[in-house]
Amino acid sequence: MNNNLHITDDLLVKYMLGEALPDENNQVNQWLTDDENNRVYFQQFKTIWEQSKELAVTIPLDEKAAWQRFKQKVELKPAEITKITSVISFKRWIQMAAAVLILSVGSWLVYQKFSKPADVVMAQIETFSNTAIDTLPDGSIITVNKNTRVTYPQEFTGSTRNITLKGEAFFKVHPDKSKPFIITANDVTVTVVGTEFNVKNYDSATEVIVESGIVKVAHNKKTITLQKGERVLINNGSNELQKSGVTDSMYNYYRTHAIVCNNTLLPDVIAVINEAYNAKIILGDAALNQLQLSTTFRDEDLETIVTIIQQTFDLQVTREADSIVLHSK
Amino acid sequence: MEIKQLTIPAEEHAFEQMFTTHYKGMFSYAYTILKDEINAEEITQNVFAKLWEKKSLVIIQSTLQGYLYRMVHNDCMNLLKHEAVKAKYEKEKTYTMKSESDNASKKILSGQLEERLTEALRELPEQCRTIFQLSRFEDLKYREIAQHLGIAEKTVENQMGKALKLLRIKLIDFLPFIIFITALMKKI
Repeated sequence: MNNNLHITDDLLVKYMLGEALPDENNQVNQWLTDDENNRVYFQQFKTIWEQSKELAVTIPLDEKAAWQRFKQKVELKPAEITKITSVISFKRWIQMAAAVLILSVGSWLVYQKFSKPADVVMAQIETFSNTAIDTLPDGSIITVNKNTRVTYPQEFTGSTRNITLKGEAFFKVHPDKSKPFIITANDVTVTVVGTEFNVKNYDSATEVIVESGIVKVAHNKKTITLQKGERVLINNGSNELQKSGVTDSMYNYYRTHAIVCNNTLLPDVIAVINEAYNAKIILGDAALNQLQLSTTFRDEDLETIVTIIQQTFDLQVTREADSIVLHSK
Repeated sequence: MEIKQLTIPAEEHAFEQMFTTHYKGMFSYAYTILKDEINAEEITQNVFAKLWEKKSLVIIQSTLQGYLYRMVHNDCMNLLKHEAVKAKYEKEKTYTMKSESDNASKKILSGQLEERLTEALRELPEQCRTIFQLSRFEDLKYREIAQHLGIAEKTVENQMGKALKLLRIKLIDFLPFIIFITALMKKI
């Protein structure tokens, strides 16, 4: 801007927005008449300002409906009431000592709470139709299945490493005994210090499978410890924590890109295929439930897989609008 | 300017009132940053969920609105860092640009400008971006913005000047075209 008047960007914007005082307006008007370059410069501001309006939301918003969705999301509970307990003691000096203690513990607690940053910055991995692999801030590696969301703090600052999971993921946790790694999935808590395991959590249940190390699973005040090759399935609303052995490695298909069947019962194979391909293959009669399959599918398309199964067991295939039904001949 | 300490209402009705008062503005903020309706809703809802969960602990060292908008801004920036979302955004951007129009060349150019503008706005610092949001998309006066955010009017003035200055620098190569096309359109 070559001009004799001193017009700052601040003033120019103020002028453009009708915020300037009368004599400021005159100054800017003068400046604009003085020089074509000034007018071009101002026109650029104006264009940016006008064009940016185009970015505004055009979707009609309903905050009442949004509030209903919010209530469902957090399942509003009545506000907690803080209980105040009075200290009763028969000797005055004990009272005083206790008061001093409470005061110092209290202020320490307050200090602890408020000296932490008010906001923990959260990061999120969300997958839709693809799987993803990512490294968490502590060096743990996470393989995320489709339709999954993992939330974790951008930095693990506290005494634990907390993350939440919705969906399915395989964790290879970076060992750190001083900072347990805690996964919350539905109301199930999985605690580890450094190990490899799979957590799957869907609407009705949560499943944990351990590949190496030791994993602690807690649900409704009950805790069990799982070791390599062990699995637990927790149904929502149930209180049972029942351990079982892992009989196949099909669960990690999304990580290895292979569905490995080793004398695996056909219904189990079909369940994994349906999940992996978002398909709906149905076993049409009970006789098929006893069939066992030994093969490995590696990223074949659904049609090929269906054909392989059909030919292996000499089955009949019926295709319906949204499903594929397998029958004995 | 005096800084008030506010706490988040713990009682459901008061919380609801806070929610409905600020929801639209926060959603719009998230939307203008992300250009994605679902993510914008998710971000806004999550900000409130975080407040609800630890409501008694949060003490706000600024105004409520300033705090809420800062949380929306932070969360949006975090989300954008994630590659998957970025990829999705790229896809949608291409889709928007393909959309039909009565005047193809103008639409394509303003589509590109919109894209560049969105990018440039994302690069503004938080306070600058929030003030721009309130001025541009909530049509607030400098005085009102200052009140809402608990800052001096002079700060609003400086930050708006800074916003336009930075945007101009980011868009300078592109502006002559768009000015030319808009002028042409006006003549037709």
